[in-house]
Amino acid sequence: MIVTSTFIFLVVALAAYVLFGGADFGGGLLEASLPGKPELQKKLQHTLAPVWEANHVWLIAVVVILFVGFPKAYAGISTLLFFPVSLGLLGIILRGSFFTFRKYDPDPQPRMGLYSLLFRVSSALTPSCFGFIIAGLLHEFPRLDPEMPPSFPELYLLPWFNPMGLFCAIFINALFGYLASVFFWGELDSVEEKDLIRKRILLFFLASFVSGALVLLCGWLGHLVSAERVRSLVQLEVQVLAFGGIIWMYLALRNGKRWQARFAAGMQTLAILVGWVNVMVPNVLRYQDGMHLSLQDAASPRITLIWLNIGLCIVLSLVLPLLILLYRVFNHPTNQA
Amino acid sequence: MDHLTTARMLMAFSLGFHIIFASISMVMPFLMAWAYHRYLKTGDELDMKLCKAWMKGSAILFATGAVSGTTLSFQLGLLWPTFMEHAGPIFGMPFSLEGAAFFLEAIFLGLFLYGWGRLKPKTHLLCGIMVGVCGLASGILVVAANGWMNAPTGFDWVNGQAENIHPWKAMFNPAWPMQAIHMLVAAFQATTMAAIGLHAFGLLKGHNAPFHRRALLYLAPVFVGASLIQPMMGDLSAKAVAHRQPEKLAAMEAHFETEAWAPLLIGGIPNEETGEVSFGIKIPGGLSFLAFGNPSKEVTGLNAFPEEERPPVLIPHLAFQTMVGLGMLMVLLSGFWIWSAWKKVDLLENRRWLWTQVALFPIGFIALEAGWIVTEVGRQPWIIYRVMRTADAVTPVPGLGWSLLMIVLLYSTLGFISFSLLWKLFQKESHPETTS
Repeated sequence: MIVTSTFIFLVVALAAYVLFGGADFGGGLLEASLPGKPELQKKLQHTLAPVWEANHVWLIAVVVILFVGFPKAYAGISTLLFFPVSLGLLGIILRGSFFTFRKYDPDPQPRMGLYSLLFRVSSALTPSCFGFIIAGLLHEFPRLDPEMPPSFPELYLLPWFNPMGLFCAIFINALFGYLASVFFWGELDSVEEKDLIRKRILLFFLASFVSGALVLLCGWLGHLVSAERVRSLVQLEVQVLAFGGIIWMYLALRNGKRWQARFAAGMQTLAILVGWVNVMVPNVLRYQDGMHLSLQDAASPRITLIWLNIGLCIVLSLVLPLLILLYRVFNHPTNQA
Repeated sequence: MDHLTTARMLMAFSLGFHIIFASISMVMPFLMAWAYHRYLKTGDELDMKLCKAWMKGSAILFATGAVSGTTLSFQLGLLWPTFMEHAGPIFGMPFSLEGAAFFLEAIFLGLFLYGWGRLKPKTHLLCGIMVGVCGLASGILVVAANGWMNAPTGFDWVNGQAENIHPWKAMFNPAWPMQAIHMLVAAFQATTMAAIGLHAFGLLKGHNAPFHRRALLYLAPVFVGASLIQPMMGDLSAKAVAHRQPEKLAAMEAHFETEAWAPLLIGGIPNEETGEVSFGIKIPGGLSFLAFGNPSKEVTGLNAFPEEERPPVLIPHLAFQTMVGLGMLMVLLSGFWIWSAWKKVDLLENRRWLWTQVALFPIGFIALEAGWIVTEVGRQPWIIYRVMRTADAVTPVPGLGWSLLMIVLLYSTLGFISFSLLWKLFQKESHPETTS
């Protein structure tokens, strides 16, 4: 029970990071997709500026819950997926730094090209690494056997650097771009600008759809997902929500309902996240010898989990009202930084 | 460089980089809020200008601190997976709370940086103060985790596994209070010393003298207060180390033989092979007195410990000497500030004094880094003192040299850009014609 509730906190923090941090990352991709539109790019930057740091702190929440609540999973992921995690961090460092440098440079023009390039490239690098990590987590790893050690690529590269990883990377980027476009569309007033962003929403949606289908195909061909799980009721429900969201999105965009559009995109994203979690659990790391690391095996002792749960309840009750205040203060173009 | 040393260098470089930005994030919000508070009270535009100049400069450093801090939370697992696997459930409490404080800090920071004209002035001021409060809380809590590595409590270590875990006992470990206070005071010293140097330079250049004078008026008292408290904190910290980690104290002082009337060593280059020290000045009974308040008390030397459990000596000793020496220099500088206030001498008119401040601007941060080197290198070969060896905790992933190269290049570039932007901002904001 306590393991489950801790896992729910982990998924909630991950969901918040995917929604808020994801829209933030997607902002980089969206900015890159608007060449020759400096005014619109500027508006996008102003929308992101006040909230980007808070959006990314959800990642700290994820990592803290992981290493306090599921330390064996944290240690295993850190070792087996060392390279995509490290590259993802590189993206996080570059992105946050160059976004701020661009904003606070008193004379940014001579370096604007470099700042923007690094911001946009790193905005795509980290989500790509998330995609590789997802692919790696679905893969079965060889054991670190001292007598017959697996080769370096077998252990540290091939589990994530494969076609499925590449498609996951494209999918996550497209999904984040979609989230960012939907969010930004709601911040605009001009009909012309809204039309342009609506086209980006469609573009990112199509990219997500195609890459998502290729991910599923790879999973099916590579026997990474059990047929039983794919046919489960939960999976059916999330697919209905993910696809049903398209109709809701279409209606919201047509009627100019920004919050409905955001909720529709949020619902689709959460459905995808729940679908992934559903095919993963109860295991967090899979091994070729069949001795997978389950949530239960990876969990901390009960006393730690109890205090972690109490702490998380208190923290959320403090953080959520303030987060709402932050978003309310900056939630409209007239109130942007 | 071997695998373990590379991992340690990588961690040291990342921590050493982050600690500068984290310290500034803990201190600058209070100074900004103070200036803002003065503006709200007196309506003096100079205070508003100062607040905004500090705010813009700090925003760059906050961002670099935030991303390097996020990276550190992952690096613990990437570099020391075995350590995190065992320590996570034990010392996770302060880390969880630190994460919460960091979250709140990011929210209040967003509200403070971009809340001008959107929040009521008092609410806005409160947000500024809260950035500082959360930053301090974050710093205090993360030191609790480090304190636990020095004084591991709240569990039993049975056959290589932690049992009977008490997360709160681990959090309230005996090393925490002194380490946290020592670190916080150091952050105030280092940040204000650097800011004093910067504004002294502005004053020397003659641009907008009232702006820089006002800044120095705010900074000097904080620097003096922190610098005068710090020797007491340092003394208490050393006494705590003498009790809990005698081999660390022995390494700090290059004290090889157990003896009564142990001398205090000033300077000197220790030779770890021969156990001798060259060029040092020894004050008889000084170490015994400082460690135990009694000059005749016996102080355990390094040779009393098994060779494989001794920390390195040269690095902790030199780092300790550097920290203490610079700490004393800051006491001396504080003495001058106090003397000038007492005698009503305007030190800000004295160019030689101002140039001294410019020349000494990094000493607070050098002392801070040296202090962390003492703490971390002095704990070796243990990652959890007398429980887990650092060598047993390191990742098996090969090729860490590339990660080290990447981090060194990346952080050096970011550090250079951050501080050059800060310099440009400083020049622009301190210009008399700049409007807020």
